[in-house]
Formats: sequence, C-alpha cells, structure tokens
Amino acid sequence: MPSLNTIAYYLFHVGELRSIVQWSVWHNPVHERDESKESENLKRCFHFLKLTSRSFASVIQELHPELLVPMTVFYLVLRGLDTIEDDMTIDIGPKEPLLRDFHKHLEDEEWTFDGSGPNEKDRSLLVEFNCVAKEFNKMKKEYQVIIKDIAKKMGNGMADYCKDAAFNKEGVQTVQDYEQYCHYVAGLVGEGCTRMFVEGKLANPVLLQRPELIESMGQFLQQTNIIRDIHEDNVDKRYFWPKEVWSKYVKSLPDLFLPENRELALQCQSEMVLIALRRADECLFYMAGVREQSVFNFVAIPQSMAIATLELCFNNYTMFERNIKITKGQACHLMTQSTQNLQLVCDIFREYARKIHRKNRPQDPHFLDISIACANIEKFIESIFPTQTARTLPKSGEQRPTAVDPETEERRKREEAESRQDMIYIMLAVVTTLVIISGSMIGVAWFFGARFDLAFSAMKDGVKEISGKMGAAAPAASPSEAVHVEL
Amino acid sequence: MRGPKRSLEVLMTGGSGFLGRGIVERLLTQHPEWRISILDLHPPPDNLRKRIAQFIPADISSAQSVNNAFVEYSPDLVVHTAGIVPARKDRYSTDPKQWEKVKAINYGGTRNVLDAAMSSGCRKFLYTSSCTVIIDDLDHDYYNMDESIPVGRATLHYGKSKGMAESYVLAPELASLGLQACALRPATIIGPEDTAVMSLIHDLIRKGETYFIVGDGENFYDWMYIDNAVQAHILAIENLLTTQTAAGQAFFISNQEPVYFWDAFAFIWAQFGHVPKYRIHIPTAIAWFVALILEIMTWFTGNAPTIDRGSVKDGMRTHYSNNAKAMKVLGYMPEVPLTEGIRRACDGYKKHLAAQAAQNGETKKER
Repeated sequence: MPSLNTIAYYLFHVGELRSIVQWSVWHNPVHERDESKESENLKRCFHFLKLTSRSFASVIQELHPELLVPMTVFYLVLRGLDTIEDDMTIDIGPKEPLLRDFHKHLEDEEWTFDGSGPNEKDRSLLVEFNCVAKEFNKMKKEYQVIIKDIAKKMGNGMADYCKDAAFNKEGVQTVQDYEQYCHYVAGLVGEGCTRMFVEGKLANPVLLQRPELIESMGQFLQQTNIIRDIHEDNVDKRYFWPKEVWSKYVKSLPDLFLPENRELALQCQSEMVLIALRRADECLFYMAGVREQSVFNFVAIPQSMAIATLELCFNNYTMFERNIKITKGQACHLMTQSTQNLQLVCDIFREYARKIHRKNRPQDPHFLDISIACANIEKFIESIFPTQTARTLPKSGEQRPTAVDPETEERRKREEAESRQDMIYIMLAVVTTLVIISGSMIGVAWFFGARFDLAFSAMKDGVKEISGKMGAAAPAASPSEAVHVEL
Repeated sequence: MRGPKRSLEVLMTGGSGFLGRGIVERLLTQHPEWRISILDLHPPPDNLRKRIAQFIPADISSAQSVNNAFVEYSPDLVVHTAGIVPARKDRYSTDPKQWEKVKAINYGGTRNVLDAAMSSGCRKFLYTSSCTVIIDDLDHDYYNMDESIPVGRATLHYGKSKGMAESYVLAPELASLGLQACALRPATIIGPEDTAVMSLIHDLIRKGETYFIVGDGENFYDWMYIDNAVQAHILAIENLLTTQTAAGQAFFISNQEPVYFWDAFAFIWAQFGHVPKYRIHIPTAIAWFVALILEIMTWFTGNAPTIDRGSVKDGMRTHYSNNAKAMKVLGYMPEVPLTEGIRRACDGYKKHLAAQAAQNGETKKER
C-alpha cells in the first residue's frame, strides 16, 4: 500500500504517475523465460536472482535465451563474491583464501558455504551455492571460461582491498586508486558482460578492441553509486571518495557533513560529479555497438538511471543529509525510454546533460569544466545524430548559395510561386471553416435564447469601470512623486 | 631538408600583433637557426625586436608599401597573420565605406603580400584565415562543421573578406605556379595578452548586462587558447617545409571544447568576482524586436546601440568546428585546456586593468 506521502507526490506529478502506468501496462519483454522447460535447479537459481537483486532481476530475465542462463549464473557468482567480501564477521585470515579461490569452486557441485554472518541478507545463496555450480557446468564452455576468469580477477582484487590496511582505515587515496577500485567492482563486470555479448554474437566484436569504452560503462555506474551513497557510507564509516579530491576542501571526509562546510561540500560533490560525467560520452559510444534489443535494454537501463541519479545529486545538498534516489515515476519513464533505441537513450543523456548545465553555478570552481563535459555529451550525440533544423545547412552541403544555371533558377522560382499559391488556398480554407463553425455555434446559441445584447452592455460597463479606476489611481500617485522630488 | 647554404628566412606579417607575436616567439625558441623578419604597421615590443632579424614597417593595404618591403628581400616562407578585426558595433556594420576599408586590408592586403612574395621568388605561404569564413553567416547554425562546407555564405565584413582572401590564397591558379599555401581557420582566440575579446566580455559587468541571456542558453561556442593557435601555426609551417601534405588545404582549429556560449561568459565574470544574482532568459523574438527598436532609435540619435539584431543572433546561435583534419594532417592536438586557458587570459587581463588604473592614477597626480 503506498504511503500518504507517495499518493500526494503523484497527485502533483501526474506525468510520473503516467510513466508508471505506461511501464507496467505497455512494457513487453523482448524475450520471456519459458518456465515449462526449466529444471528445478534452474528455477532455484532464478529464485536466488530475484532474492538478491533489486534492479537486475527483471532485465536479466528478459535477456535473449542465448544469454539468459549464463548471465544469471554470472550475476549469482558475483553476488556470492560480494557477500563474502562485505561480511565483517569473517576474519581476513579465512576471507582472503575464500575470495582468491572462489573461482575454483564454480565447477564443484558439492561446494557450499555456511560461514556467513547471521545478518548477511544473501547468506542463503552461499548455503545452496551448489545449484549455481550445477548450471555453470551445463553451459557452453566459452561462457564458463569468461565467468571463471572474471571471478578470479575480481576475487583477487577484493582480497587485495581487504588486506590493505590503509584502505580500510582511511579509505581511497588518489583518483587513480578510486578508479582502480571501481574497476574491480564494476569495470570487470563490464568486461565479462561484453565478452559474453560478443560470444553470443549479440554485440559488435569491435567493442572488445575498445577496452576504454567497456571500462567507462562500469566506471560511470559505480562512480554514480559512490557519489549518491556518501551519506550511507559515512554512517558505516566506509570512505570511497578519494582523499585527493576531498582534501582540497576539508581536513577529513566526515567534515564534509558539518553545516559550516556546506559550500565546500557542494564544491567537492561537483568535482566528483565531473569525474563521472566525463565518462558519459563513451557510454553512449559503447551502446552504439550493441546489436540485440534485449542486450541493449540490459545495458541502457542502468546507464540512463545513472545519468538521472547524477543529475539528482549534482548541486543537491540533501545528498549529505540523507539517502536520495530517483522516484519510481522517473525510473519508469527512463525504463520506457531506454528499451527502444539508441536515439531515445541519447535524448535522455542530452536532457540530463542540459539539466546539469542549468543547475551549474558560476561560483563553483568546476563550473566551466562541468559545462564543457555536458557540452561534450551533446557534441558526441551530434556526431551520431546530427541536428537538422531550419537553421542548419542541408546535409549535402554542396548546395551553393547562388543558383547554378538560369534554367534551375527559373524552375525554382516557379515551384516557389506554386507553393505560395497553395499556401493561400490552405489559409482561405482554414478561415472559411472557422467562420462557418463559429457562425453556426453563435447562431445555435442565439436560437436557444442567448442574450448577446446583455453581454455587450456588461462588457461596455466593465471597460468604463476600469478606465475610471485608472483615472482615480493617477492622482494618488502624485504624493509619492512629491516625496521623491523633496528627497 | 631545408636550404643548406643559408639559414631559412621567414617573414611574419602582423608579427607585432597578439597572435603574430606568439608565433614569432615560439619560432625563435624552437628554430633559433631561422631568420625571422616582422612586417607590420607598428613595431614589435623592444624585447622582441632585439631578437628578430629585421622589422619592416609597411601598410599591407598599399601595394606600393608592400612591394618596397620586398625589394632585395626574398623570404623562404611567409606567415600572413596581419589583418583587421572589426569589433563591437563594426562587426555587424553594413556601411559600404566600412566594407571597403575591411576588404582593402583583409583581402587586398593578402593579395598584396602574396603577389609581392611570389614575385620575389617565395613559394611557401601560410595564411591565418578564420572560422568566420563560414560562421559569419548569422542565419545558420554550424554544428561540428568541417572543411567540406563551401566558403561564400558569410555576410559580415570580417568573415566575407577573410573568405575572399582565403580563396585567393588557395586558388589552383597560384598552385600551378608552384605555390604551396595553407590556411588555418582558428576559432575566437583568447590569451593573457589579448585585450580585444576580454574587454568586450568584461565591459558587460560594468554595463550591468550580465543578467540577461538571449535565447535558451543552450547554444555552443568554440574557443581557442593562444598557445594552441601558435602550436597549430608551427605545425603548419613545419608541414609546408617538409611533407607539404597541407598545401592547398584549409583547416579548422580550435580548443575542441565547445561550450555553452553563456557559460564561458559567466566563467570569465566569475574570475573577476562577479556572479550575477539572477539570470533572465529573453526569448529570441523579443530580443530581436527590442534590438530593432534600439537600432531605429539610435539611428536617429546617432549613438551606437548596446545590442543590435546582429549581436542578438550572434548570442543565440551554435557554431563549433571539427578539427579531425588538422589532427590527421598537421598532427594538431590542443595542449592547454580551455578552463586553464581562460583562467590565464583573465589573470592577464587583471594585470592589464591594474596597469591601466596605475597609469590613470599617475596622470591624475601629474595634473
């Protein structure tokens, strides 16, 4: 049952309510799971997918059949790793080998783990992890290799961070460290997904030769989350904003939350937004390389959500006071737009780039850089979907300002004259129609007894009254004028 | 590769100007073995004059004056940056006298210099054109424009005259005589020593005109920092002396960071401590109409209007260039990012203002 607040919100944001209805009524999945053909074990895996993921469960389940199971397994493997990494009840002693060797258990249909803390919400996944291994062993060898490779890299990366005392105590140091961290938790996921898309022939293989595009996809999502979660992470005393950035504004990261540092906090925030925003054009570039609709939806939805979230965070001090997120209505609108084609996703990016540009404040030291980053998104979109308006030159560009020969010039003039004549006829038709319609309406009103004479005389009185008032008001203004003169 | 017998002779027209000076200074450091001469109406600053081979005073709009300069002088390469930029109200002028003046310097001057150089035997010519050869056509927006757009639509005096000169320089007739010429089309150049562009923007603070935005404020403008413009010229010179792949070609150059037009202004004002408390968006149609009324009024009174229809159109249109060609052929890559460039330009202008204030103070004391 929605809260009273929610109801009030949507009463005043009918457009967003419409988006929710639109998404829930009109959204047709590109592909649907065929549950009748699924084994009990696979159903169990989907059960865990829904249990562990808020946002990814539905997009994964709508994926092309080729990738449906591999992507589900990939997600559950990563979720398993994440659950171990996050678990503060496991000592670094046993945790390190668990993370580093996690990829070795993927084929082991016996391996399960029940050492998670009682409060870990995803502990049941690890307790029954062998159902994931069973599906893993049934998939194509190629997908197994990819998932195993990513699990190995990520497990080792996570183990390194868990062991890193300075990181655990003081958080991330440089911007490079920050991007490195995002690489381990998100960039690698992007790499795995892209390799699977290409393996399934659902994305352009050229993407694999542009690792920077893949990296930007993950960085953009992860950095946005890190920016948005600053309040929550501060409560948990986990610091992901790099010291290299915040130290320009405050002595210690928690100082950002002090009321007297409000302006500094906003400046720090805008620098973080800027670092993320510079990735946005490469994300669009990546999405242009996706071939299949369900894969496109899978990659585009999180990206659209990310740019909207980034805009929500930008220049918004509330972010330091409590957790913020985009509304359900906004999310539904973004999902509808992101499940069609690249052009609509570009429209979203342009829309939010402009919103950020409008919220940008000149007193912010990053003002111009943010403006350039927003313009750069628009510039990229312009390169794939050129603007065509009355103010742009025709695409050929060859058309000379002067006519080439008298014959064409003559023909052009004749055509112009014809179109002008057409225009006159159309206008005439429109005016005639209007006269007939309004004439018959007034006629009907008169027939049923409308008193136009009363209306006219009332109008006349009204005009008189207004002019009378204005006449009376004029002298009233003179005393104040006199005051001005005296002063 | 270069002439082994004597050191290379380079003639720099407009070498006393903002861009010309920058190019001369960079050439002196990067190619100390070359002999650089400056041809200009005004002498260069003393410290620069000491370092160059010679200063030739000449008025490029006079063929006689230019020809005199080439008597007994034959450079290996000419860099032609001299020209006139009609600024402020003159930018939108439709006065025929004004056009004759601009044309005589930008087009006539270029012909005089190139013809004299060719008669002296010089066959390498770098012409500083301008992006305005395309964009001084206020009726169109130019997104991501490249060199495939034909020259000839510009209506404002500056872009029109620069375009005529560029077409002359790159004409196949001269190329068939052995001329290897190249034209660079920089975007609006800013830098610490520039006062023309900075004063224009800075003056708006004093006039109280920073509170208004004409149009939706989402149009783009392209800028260029002086060091990047200098770099592009050096690369073009080196190209003409070596591979010559740039011969006969025009290249757009800019910082490749197009940005919302009004944001660049707001950033500059902020460097001077001015942040407008509010900003009013004036719909295009209203602004155009107001400008028209002002123009009519000032036509009677004889004063110059602050805004006119030209500047309204200038403030709401989009234009920026695609430098892919310059990057590929010349190896051009902007070195100084725009934000840093504008900061330096503002610092330079602050010094200029301080020096001006000090001077005013002194003259007052003397009185």
